[in-house]
Amino acid sequence: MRITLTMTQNRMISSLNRGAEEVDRYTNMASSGKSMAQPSDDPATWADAVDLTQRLREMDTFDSNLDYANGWNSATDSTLSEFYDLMSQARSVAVSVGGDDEEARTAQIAQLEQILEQALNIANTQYNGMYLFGGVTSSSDSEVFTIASDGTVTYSGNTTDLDVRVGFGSNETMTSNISGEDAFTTDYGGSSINALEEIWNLKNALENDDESGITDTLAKFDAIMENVSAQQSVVGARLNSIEGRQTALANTQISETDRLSTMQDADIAETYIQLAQAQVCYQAAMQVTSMLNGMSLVNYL
Amino acid sequence: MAGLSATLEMCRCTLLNTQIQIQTTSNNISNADNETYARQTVVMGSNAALFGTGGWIGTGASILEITQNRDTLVEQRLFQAISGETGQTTLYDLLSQAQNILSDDGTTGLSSLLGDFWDSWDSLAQNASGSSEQQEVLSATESLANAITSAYEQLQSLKDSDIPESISDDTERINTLLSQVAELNQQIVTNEASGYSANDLRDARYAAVSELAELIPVQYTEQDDGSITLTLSYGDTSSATLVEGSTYGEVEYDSSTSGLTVTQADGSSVSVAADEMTDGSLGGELAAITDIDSYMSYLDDFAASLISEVNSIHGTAVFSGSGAADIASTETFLDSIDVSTETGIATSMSALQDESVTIGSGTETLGDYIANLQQVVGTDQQNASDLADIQAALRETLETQQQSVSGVSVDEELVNLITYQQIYQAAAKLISQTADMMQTVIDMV
Repeated sequence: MRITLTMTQNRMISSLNRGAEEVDRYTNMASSGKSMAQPSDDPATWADAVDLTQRLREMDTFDSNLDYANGWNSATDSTLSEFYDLMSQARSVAVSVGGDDEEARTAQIAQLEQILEQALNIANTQYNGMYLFGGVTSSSDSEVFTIASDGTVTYSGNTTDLDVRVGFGSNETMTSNISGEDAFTTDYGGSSINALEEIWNLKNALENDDESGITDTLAKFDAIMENVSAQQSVVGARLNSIEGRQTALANTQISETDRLSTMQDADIAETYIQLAQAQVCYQAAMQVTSMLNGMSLVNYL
Repeated sequence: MAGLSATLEMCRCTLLNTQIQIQTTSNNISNADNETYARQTVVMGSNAALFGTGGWIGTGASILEITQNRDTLVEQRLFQAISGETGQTTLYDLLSQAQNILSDDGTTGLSSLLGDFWDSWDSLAQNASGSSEQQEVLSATESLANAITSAYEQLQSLKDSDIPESISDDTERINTLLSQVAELNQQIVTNEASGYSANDLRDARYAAVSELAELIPVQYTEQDDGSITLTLSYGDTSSATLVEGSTYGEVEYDSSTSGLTVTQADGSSVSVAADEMTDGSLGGELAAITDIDSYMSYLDDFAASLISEVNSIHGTAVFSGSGAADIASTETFLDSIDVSTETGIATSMSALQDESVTIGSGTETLGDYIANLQQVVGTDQQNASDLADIQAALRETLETQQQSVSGVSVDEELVNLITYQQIYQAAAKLISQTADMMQTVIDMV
């Protein structure tokens, strides 16, 4: 084969280009730490990585939703405990009623009035921009529990569940709240009774010195307190489930992050070795180019 | 003295012949770095012998012609490889621009904006009446809609104005080159009527065809009179004659069909559809238009599905518009909400991200669909880049073969020069010796 001037020139140029290109590729990989710079480097893996990044994003959301549900349920739990304590306090006040000590009775009535006020406050507790026991009711709306002068309690909240998503799929939700209806209303002998109303009734019976009224109300107190405990165990079960889910989620996140890293990240050791090889090839190409320049018959004529 | 005079005459011719040989060598060396130049060789032939004492006596040598060294078969294959390579390189470059527009690695781009959109509904589910939560939903909706229309519009301007502009530059250049080839054909036919090869005109024609090959896939066949017939091959087997003798046709872009209208040398015209030609930079541009068009309808299907799915979950419309070109946030969808129902809606909205919905002709989750667009674009680009590499390797090999035949080797020319120089010196020596001998003859008288 005849070797001509343009042939050698073209070859030198293309081998120098190739060398520079390889060095550039591995330098980019080494400096960015990523094995792919653009989708065309590995289209399927790139798309998988995009997908997985979004899955991880969704998991982060589940985690934050679980934190949120945890906050609500914990707040519900401690508020219900407080309410339970108030109820037993009210009951002990009623049980201690005895004799005709007018002064002691007045003090007891005053105490019950205070308990009623506290109970009302608890029922209207606000949390994170909403009423804790209002179903889903904004805290900028009027209070969900109001008590009239005749002791009638009105609930203006709703019974909507405050659900947040905690897993892939549309059914994977966690309820964060207990509605005011579930928390403070219970069934007693076929009719529905309200805890706040009963505290008022107890106070009223005491004011009127109505012995049988007091006995009646105390019986209802048992049912109410039982209901509060039952609601607390619902909340407790939720809190357990949240903890379990968060642990499981954290494990999945670790393994999925690991998988993403395998897809996207360059093997540093391997990249450095490849970079070193590419540099050697590039240097060799440059060396050869300068050697060829000196080769001409002209030098010997 | 007949022999001596004949010798003098032969030496005179030799001196003149070697000068032309050296001139040709010098021409070769001058053009050593010109890739479209074909090395020229002086073809020598012996003169007719004279019958004399002792039989046929030689009368020296003279120049028959100056030829150029070409291998037409290699050149034709080289043109094909050139067309193939430029087609794929052009396609790759244009797809890179489309890829930049659609750039998305999961943390930036459409996927992440879609993710932000879902996340904002999760926040809203936690506190539907909160103004910051509502604001988050509103701005995420707006950002997503804006990103979709902006990507769509950029693709559209690439497809409808940037690429057609390059196409019109290309067709303009093609048409100029076609007329040049026809003009050169005519000159070559005229000049070669004398029987001698019009080397420099042929070089100029080779350069023009070689440049044409970078623009469109052309084939040529040489006629007996020295002119070439240029044809454009498209589709599976079709071809259109672009230049025949001194007549030439024209190539025009038809924006309504995204294809070409080719007027042939004989005046008749044919249509070349966009997918019938992928070689040459013009072919690459046509292929890019087809690909970008498919990305645009991909985006359009995504937007249409997003609008209908999201709006059907939310009572009042979240998005207005019907596709990627006009999707926008209605901005008013949270204005008079019932907090207790909105919470449920927000949860269902967030759940939509895991549901398979009807998009285009298939069913997929919205997130998967938009992530797959990356795979579609990436695969197209990867194919173009792989094919470009293959064609480049082929081109390099063929270029080497072509240059091996037609290229100038400086060393070879120098060796030739030494030969010619020695012949020249020998002839000159012969002249002075013959002159001495003639003097001797004269002195004898």
